[in-house]
Amino acid sequence: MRHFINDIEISPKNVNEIGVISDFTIKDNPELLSLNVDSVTLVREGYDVVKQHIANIGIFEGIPYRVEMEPGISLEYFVDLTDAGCVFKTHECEVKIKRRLANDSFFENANATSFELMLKKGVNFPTFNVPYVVIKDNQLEVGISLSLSIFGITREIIQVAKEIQESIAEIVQASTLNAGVLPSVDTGDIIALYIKLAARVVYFAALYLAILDLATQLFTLIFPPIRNLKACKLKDLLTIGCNYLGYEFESTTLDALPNYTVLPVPLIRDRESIFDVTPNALIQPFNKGVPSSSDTVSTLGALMNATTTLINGETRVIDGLVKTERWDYYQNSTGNQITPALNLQAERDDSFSYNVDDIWKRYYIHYNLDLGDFHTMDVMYNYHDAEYSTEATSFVNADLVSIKGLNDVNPAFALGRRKNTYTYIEAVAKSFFGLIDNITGIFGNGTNFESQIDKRIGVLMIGQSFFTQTKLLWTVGGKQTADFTDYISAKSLWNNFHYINQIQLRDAIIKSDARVMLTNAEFVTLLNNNYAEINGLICEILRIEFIDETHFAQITYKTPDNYATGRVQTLIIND
Amino acid sequence: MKNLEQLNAIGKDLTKSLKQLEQLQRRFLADLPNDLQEKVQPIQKDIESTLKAMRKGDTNKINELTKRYANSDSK
Repeated sequence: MRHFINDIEISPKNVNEIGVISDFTIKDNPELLSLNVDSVTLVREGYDVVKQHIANIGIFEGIPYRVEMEPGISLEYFVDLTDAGCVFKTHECEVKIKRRLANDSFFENANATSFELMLKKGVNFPTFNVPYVVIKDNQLEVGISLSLSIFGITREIIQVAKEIQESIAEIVQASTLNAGVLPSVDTGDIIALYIKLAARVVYFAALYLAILDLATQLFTLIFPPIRNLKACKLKDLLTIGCNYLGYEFESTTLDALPNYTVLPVPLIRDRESIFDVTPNALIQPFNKGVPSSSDTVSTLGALMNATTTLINGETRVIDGLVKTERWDYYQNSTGNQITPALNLQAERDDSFSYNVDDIWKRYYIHYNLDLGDFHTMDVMYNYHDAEYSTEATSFVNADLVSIKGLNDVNPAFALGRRKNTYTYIEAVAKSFFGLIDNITGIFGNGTNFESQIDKRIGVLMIGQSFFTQTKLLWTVGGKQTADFTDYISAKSLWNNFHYINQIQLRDAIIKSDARVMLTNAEFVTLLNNNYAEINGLICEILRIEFIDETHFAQITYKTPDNYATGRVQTLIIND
Repeated sequence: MKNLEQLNAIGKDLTKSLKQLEQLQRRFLADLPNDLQEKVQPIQKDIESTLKAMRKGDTNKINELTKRYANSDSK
């Protein structure tokens, strides 16, 4: 290995001890190519570069550091001067070096980068409107008011209409010629009846207009206008966030799920109180469309973690490329082949252990419930969680069955309810307003309430103007599709992503610290895909420690086994 | 809902009655003595303008007519 700091070749004091370790066991953030030593000791020209950098640029920017394994194979690092482990002496310094454009530096930045910061720096996100209606849980009260109003209105209008008909009949009667020698009409009666009819028609007209006004107000109350909030597709948020930090983002898993949408909470500063604006002012979205400090995924790092939790994935950052995939993605695409030796060389023996850390008794996937949106606890409650249990298929002594552990999966989102049908009150009111439309069609000044009601199907339903948990939706054109729960419910997360965690599907044995001969190129290839064929089986490499001076690496790997097959089964507690 | 359906039916009947009244006027109003015609015609015009105002949603006109015919309905 040759070491370069700012492209100047140096020889660290502890150069012969330096090797690299990659640990893939931390699924959501594997530690790749960290040095096997705590620090690098720089002397002479190496220390001079560090001192010069601190004097000219300061400690807040790292110093490029490169480890060249062989011509054409380099590993990029940087000296992190802000790490507390950096110690400066008179003639030497001990500094921490970290992988450049890799997991550590990416997540350190991502965890501290909010979407509001990106907005402030002029980053544009492709946000779009998500139409929603507020359906409160006061349907009974509304129902009572509605019934009373309908009863009062119809009773009065029926009465007046009948009276008008009577008046007309009376006029017809009075206008009929009286029988006699000289047929005649009762002039006085006709005038009186006309006046009576005019009075009733005027009263009817006044009542009619009042009813129309009341119906309009009632309509707004029962069917508040469709409002909009801004949202953004999950992949767009991740891609643009990574680009902002100087990384590319890729995910074939998310490519196949393009409709995942993040709806941030509608909580922003300097907005007019909802009591001070007209209801129509809320039709236009007032939120920013990207997560804010009040969201459950307030930073890029938090959103990245929520995504890996959601898709049972892992995120790897290699040479500026952030890649988030379901964790078994690499297993299916490896071409690596290695041949490890026995792992107990001194005893000429092989040892192994079972992958017991992967066993769980209870697997619980659950979205957040939002007290600000009771719909997450109403119908959506059925979709918000899924629970599974690993059970022994048979046993001799029940008390000796030892299957333990909780796997708690909590994507930091709440679900959103789609308006699939009319509520009971809406169905009643729909008929009422349909009749109002008919009646106004007869007398003129016609209304079209009913057609406005039909437009509400498919939009998002929330319980009040504000909610507190960031929502994950499955939208096409801003609305959730009728089958959205097939993609987004806790059950669908299990069926699409998490079922692979059942121990009977991933039972394996672990062999630790087996020696294997590797070239530098093979070592670098294994970093990109830590699966390799060993003795005809695709095995997962959990840890590699590589010291290139000897071209030997020590690996810990997992080889498939079938110790759990047929011994346990998964019981669905609810889904 | 039954009331609403009844209201809908009555609305249709009422329309028929109003048309009947219109036909009646054509038949009899022309035959009425001049003095009677002079007295009935303004009232007839008020009825027509009431229905017109109702169609247009002209609340001011309805208010004006309401004042004119206040207490005229001796039910």
